[in-house]
Amino acid sequence: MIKFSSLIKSNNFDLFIFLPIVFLIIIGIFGIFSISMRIDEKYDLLIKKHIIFCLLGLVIIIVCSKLSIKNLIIFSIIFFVFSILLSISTIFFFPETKGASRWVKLFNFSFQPTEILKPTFIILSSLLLGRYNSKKDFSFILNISLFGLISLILLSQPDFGMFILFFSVWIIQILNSSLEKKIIFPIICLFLLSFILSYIFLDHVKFRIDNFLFSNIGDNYQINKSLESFSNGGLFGQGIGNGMVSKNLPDAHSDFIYALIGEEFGFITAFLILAFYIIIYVRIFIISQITNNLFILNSLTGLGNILIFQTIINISSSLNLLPTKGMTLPFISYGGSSIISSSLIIGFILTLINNAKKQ
Amino acid sequence: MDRSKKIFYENVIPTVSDKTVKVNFKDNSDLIFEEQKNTKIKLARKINNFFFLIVSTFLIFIMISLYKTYFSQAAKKNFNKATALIDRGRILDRNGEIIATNIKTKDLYIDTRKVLDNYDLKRKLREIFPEKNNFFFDKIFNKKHYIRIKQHLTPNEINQLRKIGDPAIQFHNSVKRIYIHHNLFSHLTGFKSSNITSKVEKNLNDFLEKGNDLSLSVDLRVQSIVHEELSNSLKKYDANSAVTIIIDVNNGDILSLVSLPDFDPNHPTNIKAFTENNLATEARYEMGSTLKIFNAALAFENNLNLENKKFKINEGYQITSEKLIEDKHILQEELSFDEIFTQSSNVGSVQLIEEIGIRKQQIFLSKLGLNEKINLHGLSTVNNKLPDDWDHLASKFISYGYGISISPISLVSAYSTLVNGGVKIEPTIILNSDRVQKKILSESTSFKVNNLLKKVVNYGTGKKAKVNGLDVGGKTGTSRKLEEGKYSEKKVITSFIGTFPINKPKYIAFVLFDEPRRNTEEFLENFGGNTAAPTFSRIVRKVSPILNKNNYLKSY
Repeated sequence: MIKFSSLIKSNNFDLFIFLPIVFLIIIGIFGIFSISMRIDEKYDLLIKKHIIFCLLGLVIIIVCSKLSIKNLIIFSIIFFVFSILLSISTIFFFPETKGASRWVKLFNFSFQPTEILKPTFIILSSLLLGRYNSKKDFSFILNISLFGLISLILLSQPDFGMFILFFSVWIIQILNSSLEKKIIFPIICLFLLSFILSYIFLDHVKFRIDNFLFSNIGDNYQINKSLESFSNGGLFGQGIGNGMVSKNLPDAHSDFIYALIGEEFGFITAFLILAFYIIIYVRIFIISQITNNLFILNSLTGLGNILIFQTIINISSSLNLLPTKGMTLPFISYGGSSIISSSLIIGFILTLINNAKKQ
Repeated sequence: MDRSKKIFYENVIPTVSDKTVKVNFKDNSDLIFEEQKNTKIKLARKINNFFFLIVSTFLIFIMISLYKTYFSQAAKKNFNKATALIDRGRILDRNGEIIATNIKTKDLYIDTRKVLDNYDLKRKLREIFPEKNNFFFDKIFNKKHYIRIKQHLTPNEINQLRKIGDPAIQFHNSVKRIYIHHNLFSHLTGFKSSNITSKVEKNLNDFLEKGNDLSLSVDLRVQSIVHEELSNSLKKYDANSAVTIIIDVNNGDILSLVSLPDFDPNHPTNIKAFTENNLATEARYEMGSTLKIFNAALAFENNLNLENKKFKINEGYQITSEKLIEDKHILQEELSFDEIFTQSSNVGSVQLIEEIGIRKQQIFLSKLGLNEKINLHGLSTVNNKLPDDWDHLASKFISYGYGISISPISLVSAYSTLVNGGVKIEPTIILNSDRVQKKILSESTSFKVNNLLKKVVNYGTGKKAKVNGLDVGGKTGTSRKLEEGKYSEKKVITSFIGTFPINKPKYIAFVLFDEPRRNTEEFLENFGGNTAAPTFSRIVRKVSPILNKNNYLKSY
């Protein structure tokens, strides 16, 4: 315990980021606890698993924050290659569980390797962009081909939500690193074109967007229940386990946990959760503004963006501001892969912030 | 820390003031290269700033909508809708017969993550819902979600679905608003689906939502007779549309309001747009000869003593330099005052209004309420269209019913005043609603008008409106439709407005046909008497025993 506190004090930890994370984890544990209280067999193990993963996540955060930049990059490369291989293997060896083939099944655990791609790819991408900026060599082509590979994996799974997440974060990174116009313009065009084409040719994308833009609420049971949960929550909430509406809300432990917390913990807590995410994001932004290193700036904004985008997508879809995506809420939603991935992100961010401060 | 210590005020001020400092651009420290790097990182920061702003805007937007989702009343109302529907008030007729009510139903939801056998379930669902197209279920099962398949299942469908026994199949309780009489009251009740409402369901939504039953002034028996007769006549005369209103002239209760074509409010998705207009209140017509009776009332009310005057009509009347109006259907050269109305003479009417004067006509029609919008609580109404420039010419046109478009409900309301002893009433479809009544005409005017109406039916153009055993009075009306700026010879509107029993009028029935087919070469002026009047007769023959029991229960 003494060691732990000294660890925090030792300036390795940016408290603006670490404390909100701890708070979010605690809220998440309460939320999952509420679900596990339901008299339903399948939720029995939920809380135990969740706590284990949360502790694992904290360990990952602490370990990662101790890495030096060099080790961080090596670590990222190893994990990136590893998870790419696993992701490809899911397509061929683990077909069709839960309607999509994105899970690796080992013994009793199922794992989603694309989650690990998130932080590692961002580190690699900013590394490659930094190299291209000074040397103007093949690194940009490598970057594009890596992204293409990831897109192929994600779209074949299919996981369109994750693809959008990767795409938007990657695009912002590229725009950030102020490349030549001859590179930026085609990419922006590609960006717009791909949206238009996917609207025209991918039926389910068109369906979702149309459904979101032109149809009234009420067709989708989940969204309806989700909105009703918030409305039922009031200022202070119904209390843990007392959520009447969210009881009937499918996916309340992952995609719609914000609605569950919204009903049982009330507006204040729901608002605080949002506020804590914003504190993390703003802190990352401030640090990225003071750094002079393009690599650190790029990685920090990338990681920060991926975290906040995921939050925005999750919260917005439970508020019916965006079409529903299978996107988890970092540190709160149930899901081992998600928590580990988010912990990696935060761990990397802490390392980068340390380095940025040292300059 | 170290740097900040060094920066003291003394350090910043140059210690030697007269020493000039030379700036070398090509020095060893690679200043320019550093400078370039800095611009790059500055640009990156600027772009970063920009995206930060975008994300922040979205975050603020989320915060606002979070707050709204929690606390906005509208949202709460939305959610309570489903549960509130079961408590929604019924709509009843004046005798307490149910017009609209709610029944409990079940909706089918499918949780595609729990499906045991995709292929099998798809096949079985297709058998149960043959009306859904083949791709419908393929689309549903392509995604993992919890989605509604169908609302308001029939008991048979529920049975079949339960037999499948797949855990993916979920039922949710639901409530459906049903209209027991289908089309019969469609233009009054409108419809209520999950989020769209119309007519009474929309306009009195607040009242119904609180669980209050709403009693309409209409009578189911009368309405069904009227609907049947009018539908038959519509077919017989091959008209575009038809309207009938029956109103109690003493208190303004609308006993029946039928506008054809109509729709079945039980199936809102099948409603065609053109059937949705309530022609009785939301349409206006140039009524033609039915308005002539206003001239008579004008003469009576102003004591002009024109009753004994003779009017020469054989030469017609040159109303404008191009237009000569004639009464080809009348063989007489001269008409008495009464004959102008019984024969429905246009020339006579114009001559009459010349005698009366334009100012009096304006005042009189305004007094009757033709210039104001009828306020019919629960239904929307249209304004009447009076001439923009009410000069002598317009006045002459109005005297025989042109140049002024009025809605059927407005005409009926004005006629009520003429026949009920001069009391202005407010038509209503709500039973026992508060209403304002104002006496605006004298009893004697009303008495004389009734006499005239009786004569029209007994000796004039309205002969076919006669009802066996009941004395009725009324006035026919036929008008040409305006088509591309010209009055059409073929396309006409025929109407009949009649009141009964004529000795002490209690009810007014108005029948209107839009574009009945004109087979014979009869005079246009007689046409109204041959379509609307017989329909009126048939309706009143069946309806009057219901409305006025005493007439028939009296032992002779």
